[in-house]
Amino acid sequence: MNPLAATSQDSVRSAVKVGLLGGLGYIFVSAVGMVEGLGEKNVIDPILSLGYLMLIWVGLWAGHRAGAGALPGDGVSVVGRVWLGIVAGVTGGLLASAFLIWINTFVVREVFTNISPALIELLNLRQGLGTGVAVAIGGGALLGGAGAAIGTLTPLMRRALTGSFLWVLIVGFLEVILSQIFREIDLGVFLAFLIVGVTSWILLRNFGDSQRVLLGGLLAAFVVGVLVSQALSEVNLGLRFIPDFAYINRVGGRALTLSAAAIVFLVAFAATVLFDGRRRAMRARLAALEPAERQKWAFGLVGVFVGLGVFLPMILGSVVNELLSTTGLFLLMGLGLNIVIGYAGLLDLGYVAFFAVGAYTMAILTSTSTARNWAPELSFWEALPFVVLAAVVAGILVGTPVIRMRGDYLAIVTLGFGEIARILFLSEWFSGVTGGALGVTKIPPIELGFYTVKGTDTQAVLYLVLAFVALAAFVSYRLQDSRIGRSWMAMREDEEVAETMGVNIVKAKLLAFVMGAILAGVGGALFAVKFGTIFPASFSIIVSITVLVLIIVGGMGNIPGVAVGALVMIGILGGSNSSGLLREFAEFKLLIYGALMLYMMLNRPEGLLPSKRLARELHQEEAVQDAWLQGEIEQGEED
Amino acid sequence: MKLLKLPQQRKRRFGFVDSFLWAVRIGALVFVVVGIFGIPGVAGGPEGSLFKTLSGEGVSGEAWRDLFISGLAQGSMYGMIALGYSLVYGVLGFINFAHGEVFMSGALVSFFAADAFATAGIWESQPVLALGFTILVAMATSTIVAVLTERIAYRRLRGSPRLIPLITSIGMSFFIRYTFRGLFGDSFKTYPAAPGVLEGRATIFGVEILKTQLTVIVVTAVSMVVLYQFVARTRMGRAMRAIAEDREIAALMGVNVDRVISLTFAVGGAMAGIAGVLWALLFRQVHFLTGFLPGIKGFTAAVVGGIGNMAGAYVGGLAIGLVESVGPLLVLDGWGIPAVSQLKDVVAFSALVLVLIYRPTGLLGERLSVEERG
Repeated sequence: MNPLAATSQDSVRSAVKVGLLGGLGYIFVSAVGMVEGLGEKNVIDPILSLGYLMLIWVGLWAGHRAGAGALPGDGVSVVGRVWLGIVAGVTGGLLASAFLIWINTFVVREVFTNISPALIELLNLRQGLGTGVAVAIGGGALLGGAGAAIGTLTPLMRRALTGSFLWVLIVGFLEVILSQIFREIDLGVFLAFLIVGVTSWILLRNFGDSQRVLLGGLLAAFVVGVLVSQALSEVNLGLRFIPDFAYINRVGGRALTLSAAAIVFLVAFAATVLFDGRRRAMRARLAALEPAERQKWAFGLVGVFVGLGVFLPMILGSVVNELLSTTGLFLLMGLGLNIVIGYAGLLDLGYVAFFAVGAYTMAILTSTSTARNWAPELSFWEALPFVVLAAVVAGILVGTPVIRMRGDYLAIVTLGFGEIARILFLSEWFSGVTGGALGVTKIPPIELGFYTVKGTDTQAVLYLVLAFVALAAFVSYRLQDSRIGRSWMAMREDEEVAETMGVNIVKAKLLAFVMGAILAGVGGALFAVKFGTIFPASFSIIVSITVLVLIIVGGMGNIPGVAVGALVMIGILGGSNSSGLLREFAEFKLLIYGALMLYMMLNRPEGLLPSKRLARELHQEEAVQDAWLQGEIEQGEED
Repeated sequence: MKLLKLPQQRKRRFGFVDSFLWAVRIGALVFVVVGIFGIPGVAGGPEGSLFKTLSGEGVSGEAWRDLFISGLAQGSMYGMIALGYSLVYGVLGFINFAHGEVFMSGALVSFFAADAFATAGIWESQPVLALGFTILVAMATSTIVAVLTERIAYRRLRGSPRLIPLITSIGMSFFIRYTFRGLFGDSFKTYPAAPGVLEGRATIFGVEILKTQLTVIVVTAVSMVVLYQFVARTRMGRAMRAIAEDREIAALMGVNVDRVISLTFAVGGAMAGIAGVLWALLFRQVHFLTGFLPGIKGFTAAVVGGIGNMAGAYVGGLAIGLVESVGPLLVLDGWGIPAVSQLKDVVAFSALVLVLIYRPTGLLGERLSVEERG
């Protein structure tokens, strides 16, 4: 019996199409060098490298799509879907084999630089062309079938399966952070967490209505926590056996061992399946909470993050702290750009100009280098007001000419301003002040009175950055529902209507630019102090794009979204001139940025953690269509 | 589907923005005039580039002529790129940021054709054939890339809020740029030197001009005329104009909108491909970042000429080319600013801002579809 007989011609055709796309995916990731470039990095020690993971993912995706592509009314059975997946997998495998035969037969490296002998070895599993072809087709069939099979599971099982695999990957990727935490965690920090956690739990339960008691209690708990953590910082908890067991040293960095991966997978799987009922109940309770009650718990959540921010840097070590402070700087800029794009809907592509203005103002005013004509040698705190002032002026200078322009002209003009700023800072014309291509050097550390924050002191820098981030987040949060915040959102939805309703467009736009500029300027100032030296090359258009990508991925218009975006993008992939946790990605960072932008815009324009209002706006069209289909909007209303 | 008819925009008071814009307008004018003519009679003030030339210490007459011609050559390539922006903006109403990458793809891929010809000796023995074929390769590549971008991304986004296609095209631009880097590496590809026939200078109407620059100017002018005839006279061209005028009505009249929009991207891509080869002929080196600045300048040219306006794109391109080649020396040098050639791009971008302030609809006026006129 032919199991495919039950499926319609269309399903098979679309399976073949998806399979071809999958095959193209295989060729793409191989030819741009990802398979080889990421091949060094093992995720699970002997069996899975990041490079192979890309290929496996392509196969699973194709199978899943092919299986899900069968029309609901088709009456396609589970077996039929799996067969569709296999059809897709084999089709993709055939295309991939054609590619393999081509690169094994001809030397194409002259043109396609990344199709190297090493790549061919990898794709052939070091066994020659025959194996390569067999693996491409057989593996394609297997993965396609598996992908389709996953799609036929119950939602719970599917979530458990994919979620657990994701956990394995996360634990593998976060190797640096996790080993550091387990190695360094001491009794002090542990107790501090406990004290703050328990106190805030008790406070929220019993005194949730009185903000004064809450704040006071939490503050006290934090003070006690800090004291305890300092007093007992010598007593290590002795958990280093966990990372020693879980990770193993390999050429491309430390990788998860197979047994550790299995444990993580099983634990996550069991937890998902066993606690599913409880998770649902929690979610239902959360949905049923009164707004005031919900705010209380949101407050608690903020407390948790503050706790993490205060105590984690103590044990994270310099590498991770450095990474986090870079992430924090980008988060600061992201919060600023979020005001401009997310709240006010103005696509500013020259955002790096404000960052550069902040950095240069700070650098020029504080630098002790004598190479330049003009060096007032202020301290950080004396220069900070001037940084803000310069940012405000820059915001007005950029904002005013573009106020009357159409949205997309605004984008390109701001892009132009960004480039103008960079070239001027670089030019010989201003080199007396800005140092030209050599930049400004010898930017002094920050004096806090009781402590000197040197750029090399990663922990102190992180605390400083986090403090500014917290301030920026607070300001953004307060702005969101304020009068000006509401006029920004009205303007974003429809400028003309907003103006008719009495929103002062000029004021609203300028304020958005200025607020964004201030946050970026302060970010720039911190950047200057952190590195002690700045060069015009650090302020290229890529910075603007990076910040744009992180707010798009995270969720425009939503503060937690921006934070998630910054952690995922900068923390893992790396910022414009720093690498993230996955150093192997550095070379493909911008390719991935582009792909992510495309993917998010096409499939999920509101981001991972969307702002509810913006999501509604972005899907307005669909909502209107749905309503129209249901006959809720009469034909006559169209003007 | 507007539920409420808006009142006519009320007349604005002469506020902060107006005074700022007038200050910029007047300031820019004064800056340019003083840069060219100086302030006569003030010792120690800016001399003015014109008087520097006349008094024999500034740029010589021949140098001005060469700058002017190279500006024209550069500008005609900007014009070719600008067409793609202009056509797409006229029809779909968004800036296709990826268009610079379309240009780059043609330049980069055609390098391999040109290189193969040069190795085989055909580049020298049959220059017209070789160059023609190289241009065909570039046109094909750019067309495919342009049509694919539309098919994969932009088609799904019609009718979505304005920011979305714009951000998508930025993403597309990065995706294409770094895909090409991944495929062909990040080294500079050096085109073979222009064939012997195109070496040296020719004299046209008594003006000596580099033959490569002449080729660029002639090829772009011819392509422009051909394209103009295509749009003005053929059935497909008429369909393009119809869609640029009003997409919905055109669809009702039986125009296949999807196909014509694809065609629009294809035409823009083909023009960018030609520009890619010409660019490589002039500057010899191509690279995966080659598309960035010409892309932005091409868009600038489209705006300067009046977006949606084909003749405007060409005129705008020439204007931008001239401004950035002559401008730094003419205006900035007159002020005594050092190393003005570094500031070429600053001049071009300032020109964009100034045009949008002085005359937002461009030199020849913009032509937008009903939907985009809003």
